Amino acid sequence: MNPVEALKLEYSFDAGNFDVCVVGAGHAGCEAAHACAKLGLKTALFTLALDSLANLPCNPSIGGTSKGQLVREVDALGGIIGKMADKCAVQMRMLNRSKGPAVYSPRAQEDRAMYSIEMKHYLENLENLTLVQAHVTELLTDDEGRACGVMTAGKAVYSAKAVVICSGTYMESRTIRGEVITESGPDGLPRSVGLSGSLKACGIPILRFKTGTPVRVNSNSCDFTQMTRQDGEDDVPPFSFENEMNGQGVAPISEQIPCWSVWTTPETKKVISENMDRSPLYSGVIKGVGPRYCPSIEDKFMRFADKERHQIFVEPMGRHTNEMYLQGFSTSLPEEVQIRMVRSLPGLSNAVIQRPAYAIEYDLVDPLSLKATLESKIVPGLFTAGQINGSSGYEEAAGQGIVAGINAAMKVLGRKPVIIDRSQGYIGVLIDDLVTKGTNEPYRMMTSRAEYRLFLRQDNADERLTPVGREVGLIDDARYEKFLAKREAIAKETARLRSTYIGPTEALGEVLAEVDQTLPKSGESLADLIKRPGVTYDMLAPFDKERKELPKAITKACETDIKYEGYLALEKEKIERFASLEKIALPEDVDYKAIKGLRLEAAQKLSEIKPESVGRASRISGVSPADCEVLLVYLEQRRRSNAE
Amino acid sequence: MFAYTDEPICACSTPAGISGLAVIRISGDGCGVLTDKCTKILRSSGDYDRTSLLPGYTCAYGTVNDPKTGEVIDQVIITHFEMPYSYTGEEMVEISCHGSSAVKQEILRCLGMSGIRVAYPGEFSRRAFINGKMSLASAEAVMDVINADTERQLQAAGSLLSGALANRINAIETNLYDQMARIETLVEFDQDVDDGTNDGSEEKEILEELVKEREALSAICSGYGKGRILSERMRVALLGLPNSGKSTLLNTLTGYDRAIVTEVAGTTRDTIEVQIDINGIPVTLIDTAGIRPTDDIIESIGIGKAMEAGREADLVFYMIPPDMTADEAEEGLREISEDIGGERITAVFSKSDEGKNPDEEDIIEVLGSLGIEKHISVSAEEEFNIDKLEDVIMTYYDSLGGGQSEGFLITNSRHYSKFNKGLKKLNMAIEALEDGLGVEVCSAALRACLDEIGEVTGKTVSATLADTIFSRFCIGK
Repeated sequence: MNPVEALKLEYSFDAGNFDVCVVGAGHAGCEAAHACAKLGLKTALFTLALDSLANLPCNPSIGGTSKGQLVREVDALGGIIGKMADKCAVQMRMLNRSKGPAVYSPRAQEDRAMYSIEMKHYLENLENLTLVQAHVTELLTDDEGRACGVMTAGKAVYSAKAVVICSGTYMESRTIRGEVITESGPDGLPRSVGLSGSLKACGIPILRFKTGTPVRVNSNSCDFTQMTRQDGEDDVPPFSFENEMNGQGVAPISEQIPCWSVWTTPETKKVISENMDRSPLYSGVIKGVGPRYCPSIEDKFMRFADKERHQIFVEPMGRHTNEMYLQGFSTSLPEEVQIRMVRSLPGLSNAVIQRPAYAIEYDLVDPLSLKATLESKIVPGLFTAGQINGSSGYEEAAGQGIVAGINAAMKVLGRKPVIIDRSQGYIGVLIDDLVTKGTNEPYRMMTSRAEYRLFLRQDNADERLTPVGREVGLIDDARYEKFLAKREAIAKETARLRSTYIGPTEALGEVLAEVDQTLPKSGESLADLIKRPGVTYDMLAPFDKERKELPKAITKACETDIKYEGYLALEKEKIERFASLEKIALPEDVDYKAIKGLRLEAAQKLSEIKPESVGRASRISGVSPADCEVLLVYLEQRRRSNAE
Repeated sequence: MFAYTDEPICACSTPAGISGLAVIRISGDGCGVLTDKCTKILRSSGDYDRTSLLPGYTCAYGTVNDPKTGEVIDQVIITHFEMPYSYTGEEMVEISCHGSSAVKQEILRCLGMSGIRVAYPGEFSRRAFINGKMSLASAEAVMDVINADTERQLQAAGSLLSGALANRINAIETNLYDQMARIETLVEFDQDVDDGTNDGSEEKEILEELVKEREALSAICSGYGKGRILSERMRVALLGLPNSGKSTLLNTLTGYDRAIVTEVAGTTRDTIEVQIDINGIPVTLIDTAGIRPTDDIIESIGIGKAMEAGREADLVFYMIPPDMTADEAEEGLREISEDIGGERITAVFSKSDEGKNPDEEDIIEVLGSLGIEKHISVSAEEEFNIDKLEDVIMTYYDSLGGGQSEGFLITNSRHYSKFNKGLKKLNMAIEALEDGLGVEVCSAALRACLDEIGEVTGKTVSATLADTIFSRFCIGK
C-alpha cells in the first residue's frame, strides 16, 4: 500500500515524516535506531510495549562463546549493547580460559529489569529519536516498490525514507505448552498481526521458525546446598572498549551474584520419556523448525540417547527479583509435566515455578532475499535485522541491528553502503552466512563458523572495527584518539619486546624451568622468550629492566600478537586468498542459465541469490569450486568482449 | 586466458612427426555438418552418406576432399560422437588418417575451409573441464600423458588420471577433515559443562592422527625427487677439456652421431642436448664445450654455458683422458665439485682403449680430496664399461623418492609445491597441539593446510589456477 492510499482509509491520519522508521525495539531495533539517530537522522522507534523495550525474554545473560565477540564488535563500531551490558551486569566471567586468547569470550549475567529500564531511559534522551508505543501492521511502499513508511493499527501513517524491521519472534507468533496453544508474543506480550502479511504481499518470502524458553522458579523454593556454586571473576574486562579505556569495569566481585549448576537425574529422563507423546514438537503440533544448537531438554534426551544426564544452570534474573532461570531446561511439554521435570532436579524438589516454559512459533523473512547490507533485494529501502532474518540470540540481533541501522542511514544520506566481511568480524560471518547460505533453523553464532578465529578475537575488536565506526560517524573524536593511542602503544611495546635482549642468567633459568623450558645459550629477545610454550609477558618482568607499567589490555595484545605470530601469518595469507575472490564482482545482470558449463543446480542457486562476488558465490551450497572456475572463465570472456 | 566458446575447432591429436596413422579431432556444436563439406562417406553400417548423419559412436569409411576442387586428400575412418558423451562434452568427430605430415596439414586446411578453426593450446581439455568432463587434476594428468615419452613417465602420469595418487591424497584429505571436525567440537566445547568427557584424551588421539597423515603426506612429497625426473627428465652433463671424448661418449650413449665428433679440439662450442631413455628413465644428456683457458670470446661463452650446465645438472660425468695430469684434473674439477658436491660427479677415465692414464693413482687421490668417489674407465669406441655409466644413472634415480613406486609419484611441480606447503602447515598444526597453544590455533594451521591440498584436489577455488594449468596445454588435447 502506498501512503496516499493509506491516508484515504477511514480514520487514518498523517503522523509525520521521518528519515528512518525502526519497527521493533529489541536488541536489533535499539541498535538500528541508535545508529540512525546518532548519525543525525530523524528516527522513529516503534514497540508494542515500551515497558519491555530491550527485553531479555530468554536467558538473563549477554555474551558467551562467540557472542561475547559479537558484543565487543558492536561496541567497537559505536553501538550500545556493550555499555548497557556492563552497566546492568550482576556477574561477569571470561569463558574458554582453558583454551587460548583467540577464543576467550566474556559473558555477563544481567539484571533483566534494569537492562530494559536503562536502555529505555538512554534512548528517551537521545537526540533525533522518537519512541512510539504502537502496533505496526503495514509496510508502506511507493509506486516503484520502495519502502516509504509504515502504518499502525491505529491508522497512523508515518512516512520515511527507509524502514528497518526488527520484529523478533513477534510476527504472527503463538506459544505452545503441550496441548495448550496461545496466540501471544514472548513473555505474555502482545504479538504482531498483519505486518507479516504486508511483507508477503510485497513479494518477500516468509518462513516460520520455532524457539523456546525454560521455566523460572522462585529462589526461596530452591535448596542451593545441593547445587554447585559458580562465582563471577573480577579481572574480566568490560564489554565496552570505552569503559575499558576509561578504567571503568563492571560491578566489583563483592557485588556480583553467583550462578548454580545441577545435573538431571534418572527421574528427569523418565518423566520426559514417559511424556514424549505430549511434546508438540514430536506430535507434529509445532511446524516451525527449532534450533539445533539450543535444543529443548526433550530434544537433548532424544538426540543424545546415550547420555544419561545433562547439566542445568540456575541463574539469577536480577537484583530485585527472586526469579531464577533454568538454563538448558527449555521445553514445550505441558505445564503439569514441567513441574515434575523441575522437581526431579537436585535442590529443586520443592521448586515453585513462577513462569512456565514454552515454545514459540513466529514468522520471519527468508534471509536469502537480503543483500549483505541487510537491505531487501525485493523492496529497496527496507532493511531487516535480528530474529526476523532467521538468527537467534540478543548478540546476533544487535550485530545485525547496527549494520542495518548504518546502511539505512547511508541510503538516506546517499553515502556508500557498509559491508562487514568475514575477515573483519563475527558480524560479517553471521550476515554472510545468513544472506549467502540461508538457514533452515534459528541461526546461532558459534566460533566454528568463523574461519579467521585467531584474528577475530574479542580483545582486538576495536582494532578491526573502530576505524569502520569512525568512517561511518559513530565514533567521536575523544574515543577515536584514545583508540589511536592504544594502537600505537601496542605497536611500540611489541617492537620493544622484539628488540630487547636479555642474557641467560641463573634467575631466568629458574623461571623458565617452571614451565619446562631450558635456558638459552646466549641472549634472547623478550619476544622470542614469550613465543616459548608457557612463557608469559608478566613472567619476564624481573628481567625486563626498561619495562613501563602498561594497561593489561595492551600487554595482553602484545603477548597474543607475539605468541601467535606464525599462525596469524597463516590466517593473513588465508584472508588475502579470500579477499582476492571477494574482489571479483559478479554483475547483477549475469544470466547464469546461459553460462555454458555451469551445472544446473549451481545456475539455479546463483540466479536466485545473485551473489555480489565470486567469493560469495563460492560459499553458496550447491555451487562447487569447479562452478566457480567456470564463473571466472565467463567473467574473463565478458571482460574481453567488452574491451573489444 | 582465452574466451570460452563452443565454435568448432580442430587439431591433430597424435604427436607431431611421421607415424603410420594419425587422428584429427574436431569438436564443437554443429561440427558434424561443417565436416560434411570436406568429407565423403563411402561405406557405413547404415548407409549414411554424411558424417553429420552418422549415429553417435559409429564409424564409417570415407575420404577427405578439398571442398573447392573435390580432390581426394586421403582415405580415412570417421567416428561421430554426440554431446554430452564425448571427450569435450560437445559434438565431436574424429578422423583417422594416414600419418604423413603433409596429409595432416592438408586435412586441417580442408577443415579450415569448411569453417572449422584450429584449436588453441589446451582448448580441447579446457572444454572438457568446463563441461564437467574432468577435474583440474585429471586435466593436468592428461597433459602429463601427452608429454610422456618414456614408459615410466606414462606410469606416473597414469596414476593421477586413474586415481592411484588421487586416492592416496583423498584418504589424507578426508582424514584431515575428520580431525578438523573433532577439533572444532573441542573448540566449541563449553568449559562449564564438566561431564567427564573433556580429559584431554580426544586431543591426544587427534594429535596421533595428524602425525600419521604428516608421514603419509611427507612420503608423497619425497616422491617428487623421482617424479620430477619423470616429468622433467634427469639432466646429465658431460664436462671436460676439449677433445677429452665427451662427444664420442654422447654418441655411444645415444647410439647415433648426434654431436659432431672431430679431432679438432673445441668443436662443440654450444651445449648440445640429447634426450635418451635409459631403462625407462628419461635422461637429457648435455654435451658441453671443452673447458680450457681461452682468449676466444665465442669459445669462452661456450665454456660459461658448460659450467652452467654442470651446475644445473643432476649428475656430471667429468672426462679424464689418458694424457691428463693430476693437477689438470684438480683444476678442472675444483669449482664444479664445490658447486654441486662430489657425490653427484663421476670421473670418467676416457679412451681406455688408448692406454691407461699414467697419473691414475694420483688423480684418484685428488678425486677423493674433492669428495668424488665414483670413477670408471670406459672406452666409448669399444663400448667398454658403458653399462657401468648407465648403472650410475639408475642408482642415482633409485636413491631419490623415498621408495615410492612410480604409480604414486608426483610428477607435477605445482602439485609438489602445494603438497609441500600443506606439509609445512600440517607441521604447524601438530606443533600447536604439542606446545599447548590450543585447539583453535591448531585448527587455523590445519585449515591452511587443507586449503593447499584443496588446490590440487579441487576443493579450494583459486582465482589464478585455471589459467596456470590450461596455458600449459599443447594443441589437440
